[in-house]
Amino acid sequence: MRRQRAILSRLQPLIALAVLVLAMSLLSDRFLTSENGWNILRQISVNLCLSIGMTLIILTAGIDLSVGAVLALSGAVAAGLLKHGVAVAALGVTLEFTVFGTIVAGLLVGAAAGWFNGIAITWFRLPPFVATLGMFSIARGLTMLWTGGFPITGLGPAFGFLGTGVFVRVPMPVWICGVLVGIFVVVTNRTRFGRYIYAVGGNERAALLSGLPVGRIKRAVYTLGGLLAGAAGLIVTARLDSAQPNAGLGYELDSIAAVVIGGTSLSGGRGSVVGTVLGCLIIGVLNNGLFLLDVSPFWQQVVKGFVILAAVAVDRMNPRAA
Amino acid sequence: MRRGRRRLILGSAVGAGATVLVYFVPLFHVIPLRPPGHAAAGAVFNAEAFVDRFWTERLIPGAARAANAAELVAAVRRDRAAARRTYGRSVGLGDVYYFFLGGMGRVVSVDKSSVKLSLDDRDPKLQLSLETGNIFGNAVRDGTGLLDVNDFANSQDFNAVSSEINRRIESQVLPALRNRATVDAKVRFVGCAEITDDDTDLDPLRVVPFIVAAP
Amino acid sequence: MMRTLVRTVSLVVVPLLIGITGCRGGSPSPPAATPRVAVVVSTLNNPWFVVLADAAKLHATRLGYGVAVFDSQNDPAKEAAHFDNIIASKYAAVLFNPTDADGSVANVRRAKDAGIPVFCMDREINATDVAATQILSDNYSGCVALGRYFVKQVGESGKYVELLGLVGDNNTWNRSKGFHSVVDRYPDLKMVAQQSADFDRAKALEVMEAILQANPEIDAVFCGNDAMAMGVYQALVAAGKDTQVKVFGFDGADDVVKLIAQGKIAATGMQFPKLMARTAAESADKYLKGDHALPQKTPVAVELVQRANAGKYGDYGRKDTE
Repeated sequence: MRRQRAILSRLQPLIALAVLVLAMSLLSDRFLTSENGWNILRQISVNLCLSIGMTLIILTAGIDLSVGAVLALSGAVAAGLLKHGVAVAALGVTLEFTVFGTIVAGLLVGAAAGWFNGIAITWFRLPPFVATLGMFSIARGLTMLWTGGFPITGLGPAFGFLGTGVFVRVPMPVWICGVLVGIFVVVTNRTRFGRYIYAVGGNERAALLSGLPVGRIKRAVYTLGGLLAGAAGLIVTARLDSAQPNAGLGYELDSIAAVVIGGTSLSGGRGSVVGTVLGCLIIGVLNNGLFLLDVSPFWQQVVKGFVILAAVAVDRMNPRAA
Repeated sequence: MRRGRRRLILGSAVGAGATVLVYFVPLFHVIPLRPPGHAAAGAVFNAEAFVDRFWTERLIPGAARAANAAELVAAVRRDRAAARRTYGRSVGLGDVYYFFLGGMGRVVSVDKSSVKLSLDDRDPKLQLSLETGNIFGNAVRDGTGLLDVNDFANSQDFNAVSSEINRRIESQVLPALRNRATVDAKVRFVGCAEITDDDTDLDPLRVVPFIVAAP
Repeated sequence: MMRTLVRTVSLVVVPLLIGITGCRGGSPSPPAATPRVAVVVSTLNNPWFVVLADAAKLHATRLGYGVAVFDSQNDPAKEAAHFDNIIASKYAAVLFNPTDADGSVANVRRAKDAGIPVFCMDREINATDVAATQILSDNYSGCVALGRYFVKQVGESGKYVELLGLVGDNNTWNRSKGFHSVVDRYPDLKMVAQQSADFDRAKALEVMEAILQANPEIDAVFCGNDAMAMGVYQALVAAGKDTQVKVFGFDGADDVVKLIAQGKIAATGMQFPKLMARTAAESADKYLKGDHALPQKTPVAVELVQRANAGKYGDYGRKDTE
């Protein structure tokens, strides 16, 4: 009986998604079309990238409020390097970045920001909320400085393919997210690192006393979160063919929502990447459905808030799985 | 010990793989620094060059189409709305309109930023004023009807054209006007006036001249 | 088991019910045969854009179309998602307020390729062959006129402060450049501070208080929009300097026009969101009825509102026409 309940509680997001899809297809005849389906998948791809990283972080009982700002920063740095290169006056040369180099640079910027978060949390023992709040402001300010407040546009079709291209009928952002989801499902379920993450989140003191390198695990998790935020930034920039200084505003809240709706507990140790995927899908289907049903944009925000509250409330009422 | 060796082998393999990858798919190219001032390939709009050509090829020749100043001022005094319909030119939506006029007048007074002309010695009320201070606004760009906003990629370029026309007037036309403008001197002019408010801008008409000559 | 199932279903159904019954777009759903028009506005967080969206909706509805309003939240990525949905839902036309002159071009092109004409309102896009027509407010020229009046009122020497809007917004810089193109020609008019208050009234109040601490003797303040002008005015009243410092705004908001009539605020630039929205709706109607002869760009002049003519203006428009 308890096992049945435990299984069902993990299936909860899936049941919710199924009910939602059913409801939407009954309410709108435009919902269940392949074009709409790809739209939904493409639209959740950025949030999914961020949410995978956020899942790992929340699994360690942490939080990251800076993902949106880091997304903007990596997108802006990548766009700037691609468009203008870097002038090294001392050597009298300009470094003209290739698309590959730009992608690497964007990911490195994200990873570096995440690593700084990790350092602040582990070496300086700042609470994750505070540390990532600081990075939120720093990254946003750096983005403004780098872009001068203006968007960087005209990045070329090669880079744009990352966001707008289609390969075997599947949009590139969906491919990228699919690969990332696959990697991180394996990491969380089948590697030692994954088990360590759950251990640290479940009971940090016990993990420490068992000899786990808690500090290193946390730093790794935040660095990965930053790396994924960088990837999300590259996707957004490629899709729009422009790096916006205001990109990513509010995205951290959407990703936290997706993680929570997907069944990951904010106190750490419980949850899964698959649940997060479902959470993203739920939010995506909800957003898409509310558009198709002509619901006013103001009401959409109210509904989203209620969904988050409901998800957390239901999660709280569940008994902790054995 | 075995874990350490395994890590070493794995690390070197990744490092070697990355080096090979970067050799074939470079991260960046190193190119010599271009000297500053080297203009990028002409996608940037050059307002100065454009206005140079526009001025000599279209603006000055187009001056022949200007309305007669004396008639225009008299028409405005008789009936504002009718004068606007006959002579006024609007661009887009809104209550702003322009007059394009030319004629000859006698200098009545000179002050810091304008020169008052009398257009007809028989009628002392037929006067207008030529702007001689800093020139702002789109009177000349929009008043003659020779330039259309749709011919420009974006409004920043279009506004740059206006700035450049105004600068040219300030540097080439106004010094000549100020030299010529002594009381009782006769001046021939062609220019445009911008009317934003019927109550304040019509009497006297404030004209931005782009041609100033001896009678 | 039953309980979990019930909880799950309620997680989905309750928010959905709220969303759908709460507001089905506010207007009754027209019969399926009525062509539908989408109004995409850059943000609903700013009253000026709310007026634009409401006017567009009103005029399109009056012309017999069903209307849905989409809020891009100043984010080109969200705007791209809206266009995805609009194309998939086969709307007849889009009344569009772009978030970014470069970044929005791709969205308009996609709509055009899908056979949906786009009518731009207020802000332009940097392409002349994709939108059916663009009805633009010339912020630059409006601020040139404001700058000339500024010099007339403040004199050719003095100290002033400039408050900018959102740093990532094209209009912020159009307005600032227009103003400076006039005022910078008078070297004795010195700008003692230039800060951004994000087009927000509360932030403008705080920023102005801080600036007054550092520069107690100033002659005038130029604000990038009327919300900030109101905040600045409140700060000056609190400091007892409202009679000695002249305040200039931009937009044409009702409360500022009233204060101008009383001589408390010096001037503002009246933009005509209602006129632009009406023109866009009427152009869309003409286009859909077969008349494709529309000028690409229609500038709408911004008119200077000062004490002498404030009586002619009402809420975001002229009293006689709106």
